[in-house]
Amino acid sequence: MTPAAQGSAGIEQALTSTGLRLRTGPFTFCVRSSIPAVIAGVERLYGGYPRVAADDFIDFEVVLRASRGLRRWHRPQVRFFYDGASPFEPLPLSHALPLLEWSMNWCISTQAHQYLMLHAAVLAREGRALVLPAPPGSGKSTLCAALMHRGWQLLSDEIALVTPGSLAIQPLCRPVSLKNESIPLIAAFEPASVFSEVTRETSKGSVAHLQVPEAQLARIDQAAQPAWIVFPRYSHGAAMALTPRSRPDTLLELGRNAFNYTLLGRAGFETLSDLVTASACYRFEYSRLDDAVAAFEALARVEPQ
Amino acid sequence: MSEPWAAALTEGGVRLQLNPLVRLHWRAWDAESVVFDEASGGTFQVGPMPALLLRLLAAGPAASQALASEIAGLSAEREAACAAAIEAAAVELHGYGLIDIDGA
Repeated sequence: MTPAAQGSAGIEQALTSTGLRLRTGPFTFCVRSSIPAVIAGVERLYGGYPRVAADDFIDFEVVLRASRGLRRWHRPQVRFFYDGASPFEPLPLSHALPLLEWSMNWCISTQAHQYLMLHAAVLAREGRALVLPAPPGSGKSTLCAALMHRGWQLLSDEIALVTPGSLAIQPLCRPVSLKNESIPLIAAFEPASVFSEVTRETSKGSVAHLQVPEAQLARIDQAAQPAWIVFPRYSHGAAMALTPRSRPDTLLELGRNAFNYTLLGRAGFETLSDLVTASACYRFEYSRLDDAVAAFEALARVEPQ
Repeated sequence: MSEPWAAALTEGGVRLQLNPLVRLHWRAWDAESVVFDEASGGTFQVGPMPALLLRLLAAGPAASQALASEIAGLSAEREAACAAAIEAAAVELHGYGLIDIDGA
């Protein structure tokens, strides 16, 4: 049963009482909050996610609570609680929904060490994974959203979960975080896109989360094997270029952008080396989304090495 | 190179050995290699000569002159070129903390 199957009232009732228990890929969350923006955002973004039974194990208990006392009236704030502790400074109450998303990412990236976790978007075609590692501002999430709307399976917008040994990349299938100009760009690229309300003046500028379409959620358990590692970079007016990148260089860059490469020690090195060996590695510069989508279509048509 | 041991290294009379604290693991693709030191968690991209030098030193300490002869295959002309390449590789690997150089 999905949260939406229980209706909006069911989601609000769960969020404001014992918690909404849902699953994103291999992880289960119990989310509690009575903040209206969180309730509305969860209904819009997570309505279609699998529900977790009351007696099933929960990986992460996440609570978002509005500050009390004078802060209820003067510059109201929101605070994230995990296992009763509050690891972050409070944010303005209007940032509650992005904070929920960032908090869920934090839970995974600080604890899911059964995986090698890379800061990367991942999509797939016919079980072959395209890993898009890139620093903020490179157009990774924009590209990820566009490809998701053009037939690629979404595994993750933010965290690539690589299984040591098998190299299977596990889907997280969470909403795609878009910022600033990327929001109207994707709205125009795919008019059927459904977004959360835009949150303005966050540390990342204006932020909105893109709902994952139902057809994508149907594949929430389908892992993929690595096939391509492509470092994208949006550059205004640039001619599109897909150029090979050496595997050692790719490995070092991925390691620098991993959440837990150093922590995993030798297992991290072996997994990352296997991942790079199994993939064709490229740099990709682009300025037009349609051209970029066409380039990845062409890449997907090439037979695996 | 400004270190006091640099001249001796150039002349080929210096003993080189792996840093006894390192635990190295390798991956190689074509001419390029990546070496991971399990002890420090450091990962380094190395070219063909530093990779070869590390592999030779894995068998035990050696004088830089002997290494140059072994790599050059006893050709005096190539031995000089090898000595220079070994010098550069040794300095690079010493900088990573992967090898010890006598006197350094």
